[in-house]
Amino acid sequence: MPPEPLRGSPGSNGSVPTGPTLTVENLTVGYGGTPVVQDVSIRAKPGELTAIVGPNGAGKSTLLKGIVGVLRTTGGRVLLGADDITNVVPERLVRRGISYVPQLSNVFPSLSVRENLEMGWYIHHGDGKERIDQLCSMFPDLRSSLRRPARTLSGGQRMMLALARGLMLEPQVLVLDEPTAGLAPKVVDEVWGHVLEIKAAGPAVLVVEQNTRRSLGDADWAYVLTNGRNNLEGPGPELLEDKDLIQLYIGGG
Amino acid sequence: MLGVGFGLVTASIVALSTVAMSLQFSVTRTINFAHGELMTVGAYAAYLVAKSTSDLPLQAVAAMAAGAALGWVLNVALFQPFVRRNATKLVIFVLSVAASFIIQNILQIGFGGSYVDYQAGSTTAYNVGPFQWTAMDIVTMVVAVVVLVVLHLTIRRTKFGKAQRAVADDVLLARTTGVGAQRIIAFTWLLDGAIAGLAGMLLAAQVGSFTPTLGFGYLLVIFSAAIVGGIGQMYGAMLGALVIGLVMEVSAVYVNPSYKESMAFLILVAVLLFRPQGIVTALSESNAQ
Repeated sequence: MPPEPLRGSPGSNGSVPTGPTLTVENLTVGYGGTPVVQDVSIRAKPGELTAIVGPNGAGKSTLLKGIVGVLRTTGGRVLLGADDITNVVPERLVRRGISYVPQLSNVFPSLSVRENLEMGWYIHHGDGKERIDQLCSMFPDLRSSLRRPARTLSGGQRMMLALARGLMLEPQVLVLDEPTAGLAPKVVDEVWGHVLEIKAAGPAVLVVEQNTRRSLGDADWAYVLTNGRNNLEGPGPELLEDKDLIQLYIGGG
Repeated sequence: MLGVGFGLVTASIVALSTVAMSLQFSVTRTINFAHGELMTVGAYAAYLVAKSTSDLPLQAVAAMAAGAALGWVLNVALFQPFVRRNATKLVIFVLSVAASFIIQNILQIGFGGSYVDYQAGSTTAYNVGPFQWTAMDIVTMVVAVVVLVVLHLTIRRTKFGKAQRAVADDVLLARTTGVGAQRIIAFTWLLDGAIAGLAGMLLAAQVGSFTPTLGFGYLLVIFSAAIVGGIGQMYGAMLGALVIGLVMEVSAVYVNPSYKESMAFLILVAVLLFRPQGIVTALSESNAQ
């Protein structure tokens, strides 16, 4: 099926793009058998927070895995700027400036915190000492635990470490899969604060979130996915006002 | 005390081979039943070179090269094609069993089934403190310590070593950080083969003569050491090797030496009964709490 041009491109909110836009056109992804994600199109612009929300099993995480090359896609395209990056394997995709932070297993448990951060610098020469120092200023918790194995960190600290590792390369696109899942409410605030801080620094941030109210409230643009297909899209706060939508697809949240 | 001295020599050889296997297992997640053959080809390579020169370093290089080559080939020609087709761990294990017997039989075609003699270094014994060692015993222990220290530094300090540990922790996450996991795995097989090949040469030098089943006969001892230390734990493997090596040789002083290997399995059974996760895993878990 030839890729169709995107209909209804996200409205501009006046921000000046500094990096390339991530464009997903009619993507179909699955695990073999019936595709979990069908014909989904999204766009994540630099300097913006783009949220993907939807009920459990809507295919949100699967979509992200298709975008970052963890799962092979069977239809559609992924573009970074004008470059086609469809089905580029993860170890090459990171060299294009896309960082992916999975929901689970997002740190190397037996490696120390410092070594985890160094892995974020893997594609470069050297150990990224200066960048580690910068990120420790952003995530002060990490500085005191640099020598500890990552498996000894709390859930919140692990997420901070995973975020910091994803930021080591100063990515153009940061892809986050449920960064606040399973965390204590106070820690959720902290992690989410970092996500907004990261977005303000310039990269396109594409996030799948279970905490729908918060993510819609802060999303410059949001997509609602149901049954693996595009359902609705629009500026996050506007979608949040759509009471029917919230009730039907998202629940109390 | 003599038994302890021999035990340290045996432990050195077991440690080299076990650490290599542990590293390979933790990075590649493949249980390789043909690990003994990496040792055997190392022994035969050293034996062939020894025919033309008594130069030990040259024999060692040949042993390491032969082991490394076999490790590389096993990965590329045998395991990877099946891993790519999502074969289960059991299938891969059975493949490695087949590989073990195929290699043994190929060696038998080439060298025959009877013992070949391999003499390395002089057999003059020296008294060192309470121990009695030959020059080759001392070389064996020094080589083992040097190789293990270099391996430790490689794994802890170098980028390759960190990538190996990252792949051991989580292949997918390692790939998303830019690690070419396939290359790391291939080089791990190479390293595993080189160290096991060297261990095979040292073992051959200890026993003096050997057949194509040299490494195979040692495989269960090495599995025992790996399990006693905590499977996939490199430092546990060193400790496990020390325990197994000492028990084997010290027991030989008191009971018939042909029970040596049975003693190793006795320890294995005891560890499995009381600390099934191995000694070192148990230690590190209590640290974490």
